[in-house]
Amino acid sequence: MNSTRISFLSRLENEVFIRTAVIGFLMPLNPTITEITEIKTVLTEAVVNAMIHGYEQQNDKEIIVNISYDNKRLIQLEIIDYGKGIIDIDLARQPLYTTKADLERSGMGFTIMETFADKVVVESVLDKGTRIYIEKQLIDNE
Amino acid sequence: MKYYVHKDEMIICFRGEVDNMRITLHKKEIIDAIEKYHPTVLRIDFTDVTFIDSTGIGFILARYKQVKEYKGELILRNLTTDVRRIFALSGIFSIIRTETTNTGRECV
Repeated sequence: MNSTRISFLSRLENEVFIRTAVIGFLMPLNPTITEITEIKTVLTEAVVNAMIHGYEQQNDKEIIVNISYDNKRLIQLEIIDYGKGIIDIDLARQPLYTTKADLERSGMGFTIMETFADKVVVESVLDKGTRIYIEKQLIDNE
Repeated sequence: MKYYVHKDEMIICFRGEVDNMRITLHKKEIIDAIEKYHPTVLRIDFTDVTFIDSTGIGFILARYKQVKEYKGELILRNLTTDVRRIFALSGIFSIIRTETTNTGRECV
């Protein structure tokens, strides 16, 4: 079991930082290119969700990402924000549902997470924040 | 994110990681250019795209609506396997045309 915790500001440029950092942490597992793409995409969707919905584009707020993996190559990701929370999680997870159509959001974030990850759990408390927990099993490619 | 206008056609060249930051930085410029030129055909080229997410889908759908309003057409060019996989989840291929070409060198 190995784990790390990264805390960063909700600034746009930190999207590429966090997905690169997470992939860097996972490189000892020698993931495939497809796995790298899937993890990057899933993580980005969760982080963008925190920036746009949780913090409504305020760029001085804290986002925390916890990552771990075990000897069975199971990756666990946790993306936490302390923003405004999600009113109706089931509705938010529907494909193409968005509360931010004015910002040209597609409403596909959770659908992409669910497609590329093995497990997605969303917990949210209004005005307290949101925690997205994601599991991804890497194939055994050694 | 460059774009070129030639006669009544416009092409937007996506490259590298097309994420929320990239789209946010360039969105207004692209929207304004489409309004200015009203291209009959708007192409978005994905040849050199290495990453895209749901922000990209939102951008594509919004441009589709923008050009459709004045009866223009949107074509997605040279989609990579990864991009195609993400876009397919949203069903956009039922409304938006794609093409593959190695002749259009505007984006290289």
